[in-house]
Amino acid sequence: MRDAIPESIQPVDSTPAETPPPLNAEQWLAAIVDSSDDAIIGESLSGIITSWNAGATRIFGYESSEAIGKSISFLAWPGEEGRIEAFLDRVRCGERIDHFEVVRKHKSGRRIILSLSLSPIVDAGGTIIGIAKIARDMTERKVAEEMIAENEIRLRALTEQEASARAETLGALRFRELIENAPDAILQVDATGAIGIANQTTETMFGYTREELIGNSVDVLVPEANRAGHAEHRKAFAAAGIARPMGQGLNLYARRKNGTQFPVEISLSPVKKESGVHVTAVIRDVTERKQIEHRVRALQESYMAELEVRQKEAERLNQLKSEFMASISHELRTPLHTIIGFAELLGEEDRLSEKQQRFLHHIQADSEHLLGLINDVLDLSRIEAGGLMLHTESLSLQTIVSEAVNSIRPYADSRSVAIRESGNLDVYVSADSMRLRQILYNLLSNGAKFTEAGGEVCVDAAVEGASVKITVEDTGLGIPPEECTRIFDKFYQVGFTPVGVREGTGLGLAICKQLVEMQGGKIWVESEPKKGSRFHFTLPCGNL
Amino acid sequence: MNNPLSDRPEEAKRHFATRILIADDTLSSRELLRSILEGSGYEVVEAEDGEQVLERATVFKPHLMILDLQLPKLNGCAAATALRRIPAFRTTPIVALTAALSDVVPEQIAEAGFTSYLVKPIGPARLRQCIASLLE
Repeated sequence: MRDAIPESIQPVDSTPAETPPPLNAEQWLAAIVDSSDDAIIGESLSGIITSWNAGATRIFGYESSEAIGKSISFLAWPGEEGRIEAFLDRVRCGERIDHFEVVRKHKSGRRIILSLSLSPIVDAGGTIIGIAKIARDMTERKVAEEMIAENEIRLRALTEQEASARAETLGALRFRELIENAPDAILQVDATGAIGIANQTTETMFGYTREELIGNSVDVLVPEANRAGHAEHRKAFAAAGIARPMGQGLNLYARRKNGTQFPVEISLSPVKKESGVHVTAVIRDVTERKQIEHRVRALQESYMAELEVRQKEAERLNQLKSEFMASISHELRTPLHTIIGFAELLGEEDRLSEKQQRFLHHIQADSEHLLGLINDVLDLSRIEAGGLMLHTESLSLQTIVSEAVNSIRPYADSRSVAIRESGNLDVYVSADSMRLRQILYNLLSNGAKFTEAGGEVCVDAAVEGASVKITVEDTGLGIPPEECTRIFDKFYQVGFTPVGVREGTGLGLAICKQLVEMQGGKIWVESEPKKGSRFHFTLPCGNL
Repeated sequence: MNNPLSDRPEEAKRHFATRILIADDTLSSRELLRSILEGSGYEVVEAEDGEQVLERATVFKPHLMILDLQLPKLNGCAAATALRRIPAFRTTPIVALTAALSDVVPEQIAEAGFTSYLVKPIGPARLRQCIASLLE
């Protein structure tokens, strides 16, 4: 196969300079080709180089003599030979390839980047007879581009670095600001006790400038009285190496430049450095807090003192009341006792007329009632004043019940009410014998009072856990449900009192309730009108 | 002995030799006690306060004494304690008289030297019974 382009194209500068002969069209063409900056290479369809202009020599480094006749693949960048073959195939099929960027190898082995355009060479008959290749050296541009890109990256990195540096500076600044303006003085002291760092608050708190503080011993901030031991404390702290409050439980004081002292709280934390253990101290001025605490304490004390005065006054008044009650009741009872005694003595006379006897009976009954009233009022006032002493002991319930029953029997007999003791009374209770008798007497007396003739009052007991439940049951009038709790109130009396029964004081059950509760028990009633009442109270079990 | 209320002359004679000292600061109370006791035939001497108790006891040498707890000058307990220090009264029954049961702390009364106590009001029957049992 013959190549369309002449095998050799004479370089332009090889022609004599002085008298350039006029060029024909072909020569012009050759001159143009040769003067092109681009490599213009002709190849056979098999890829053998057939023409090589000066541009090709400049770009690839090979003289046309070295290149012509060789396969184009000798210019391939190692490993990319296949790609060249692929291009050739496409052109062989009549395709054009424009401005394709490829990498080729310079004679020196240098990597060159080319913008490659390939086009088929077609003869007059339309047959593809060869390949024309124009290659522009893009290496410099590429390198420049790469450099620009690289620079951009570098620039961006630089900008970022700068930004982060600025942010860091800003952060440090803010942090510094935070430390400087903290409400607490913050110091760092080295192993020798010299101040290394001090925040602004330290200056205001202690009255020293930072210049005066830095390098100076931290001892200047310690009151003279405590300086002697301070170095030892520092050493001990550094050895322990544990963050902790200083002088826990003690009232610490710090010293200002002007010699005045103020109360502080100090937290210490060790910082390990090559030069030994440094200590960070956070010092809080607690003057204000101490003042408030002091004021609160003074206030509390004055309140306590006032309270004590008032309590003493209340106790005194209570004492006075008790004394008054004791005295008045003594004064009231003394004449009453003799009235009762003389009335009884008079009753022994057998020369009294029936009328005299009746009058005497009234005197006796009313004075007994008056005496009961006085005794009840006195008892209740004593209980309420807390002046009632109990003599608690283990008691045979049977004994006390029998005594109480014997006391009430004459009255019950007079009303034809039977009093019965159940067989369950052989138990021991822990109580004051006189008060237990009083409780039983009151309940039995109520039972006898509100039970009609022919009725019965019964005393029963049952052990329930650690308590004994004692029940006084009657077959009397009963109590309406709405009155069952109110009957234990002072001076409360059920709405109806049977005709012919003596009036009570309205204090009996109130006294019973107080006495039962004082002895660790409780009292309550179960009742239905017309069906009788069951008064229950509990007392702790006694020992045998 | 002219006790208009006494209708037990036989009994009175029987007890004539028995002397009882009574101490109470109230006249009517003393009169009541005296009436009951003399009616039963006892010889009675009165004292108005604790000091009189000691004076008259040493002179009168009673077989039994009844002291109100609330006596002027020397209260009942102090008087009883003082009496117990006198050898002649080491075993003499001494009865305390008290206005109310709630005033009584039996241990204190026993400690003061009393043999027994009576709670007012004192009726004739109860007093006679108490005295009789203590003098047996």
